[in-house]
Amino acid sequence: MATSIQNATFLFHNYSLGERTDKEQSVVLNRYFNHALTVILPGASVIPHPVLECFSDQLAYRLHRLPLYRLIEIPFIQAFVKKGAVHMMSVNTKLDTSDCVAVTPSGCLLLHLTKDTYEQLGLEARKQTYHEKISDIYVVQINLLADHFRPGKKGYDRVLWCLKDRLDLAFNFLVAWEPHDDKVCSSSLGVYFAEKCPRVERVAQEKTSRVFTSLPCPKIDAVQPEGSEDGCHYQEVFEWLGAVACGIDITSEDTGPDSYTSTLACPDPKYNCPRGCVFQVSGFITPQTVLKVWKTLREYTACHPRKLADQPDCAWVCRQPRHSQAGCTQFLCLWR
Amino acid sequence: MVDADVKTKCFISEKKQPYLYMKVSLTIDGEDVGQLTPVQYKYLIMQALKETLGQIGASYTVDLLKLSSNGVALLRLPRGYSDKLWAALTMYGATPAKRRCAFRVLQVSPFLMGLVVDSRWQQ
Repeated sequence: MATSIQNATFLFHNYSLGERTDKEQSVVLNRYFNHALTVILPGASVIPHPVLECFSDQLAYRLHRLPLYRLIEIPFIQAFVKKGAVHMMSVNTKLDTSDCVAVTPSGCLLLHLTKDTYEQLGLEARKQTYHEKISDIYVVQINLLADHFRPGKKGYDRVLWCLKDRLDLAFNFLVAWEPHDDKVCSSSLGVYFAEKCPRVERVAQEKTSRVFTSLPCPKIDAVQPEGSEDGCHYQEVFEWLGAVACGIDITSEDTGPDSYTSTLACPDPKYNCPRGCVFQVSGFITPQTVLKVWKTLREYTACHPRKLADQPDCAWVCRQPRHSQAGCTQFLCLWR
Repeated sequence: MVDADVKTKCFISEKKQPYLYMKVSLTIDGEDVGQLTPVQYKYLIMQALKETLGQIGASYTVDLLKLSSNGVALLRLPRGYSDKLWAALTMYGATPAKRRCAFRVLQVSPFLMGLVVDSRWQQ
């Protein structure tokens, strides 16, 4: 665990907002399971209302002890997997020590299995990667959208038999559904599963916001992100963002280069930001919602160019699926 | 705001990050850890390092970034020594006043941003 944590790479893309919109969209949309989203807005005293509205129609459910074979039933595939993006992931299952299951928006059922379960289950796994090999993990990938995946075909019957009769696997799931058709309500997924598992409950989003005043902010030089006289290094800015998001007080006299308790300080060059706010949502957030927030914040920055001319507007999105590399899978977007 | 001077660049950092951030919880037998000040908390951390690693261990810079009222703290450790410091913290068993105590590591991350939330929240 320690080794993988220490070998974390920081990847930083620097580009103008006028280009590469497809690239940033794909970055967001390829991260299917988001747990929390934090928006840091130096210079703003309240979170913009359009940002809050982005979360109003996001519904997520928690399913208790859902048998796995329910996920390959034809009514589920026809009604939900083919007609929308299903984000589904098992909870209370640790990736390195127990079995995990996920259904991705691309219509793929992923079974991330330990050696014991894999050998009892009898389904073929894909080729192991190096890390999977050393930790004895097997990944079974089933394409739910394939034409040949239907009753009467050998492959389908085999999968159904393995999941239903051979090993009666059941998991707790978090699920959210984004239908392709806007007229369809995403709550129909919760209604569908109400009859299939013992209990279905809605996952409430926890929203917190915090206001800070008189905070030292690092200056950002978009032309030279690796640090210059006019701007800080991007990794120092990232650490500062983390400190603000964690609520660490870097202004008090107890912190600084000569302090006994902490030497963390705002990197130089810096300026004093009179006010700002930190907004955090946690729950089960779909990439479409993240993208909505992303676009709203871009519009917001474009609407207030004067106010934000020398103040960085920052937003970051954390994605931490249960994984041994805790805290390594996250991404950040920083606007200037 | 579109900045015309910004050119598309991609930076990849080294695999080894300079620090390891850690969320730890301290419990002391028969004592309310919420009463501890940051200086007292840091003193206990330094005692833990000194007990296992000696004077050299106590010379490493461990930053106490934040202390919550329930005895949970955010620490910043230099990456090169993080394994030793981690071990020293978890092996510490008694305070200077001979009370039994324990540091429990709750979460670790190479980035401070990783400790903002814990996704293993669905109990």
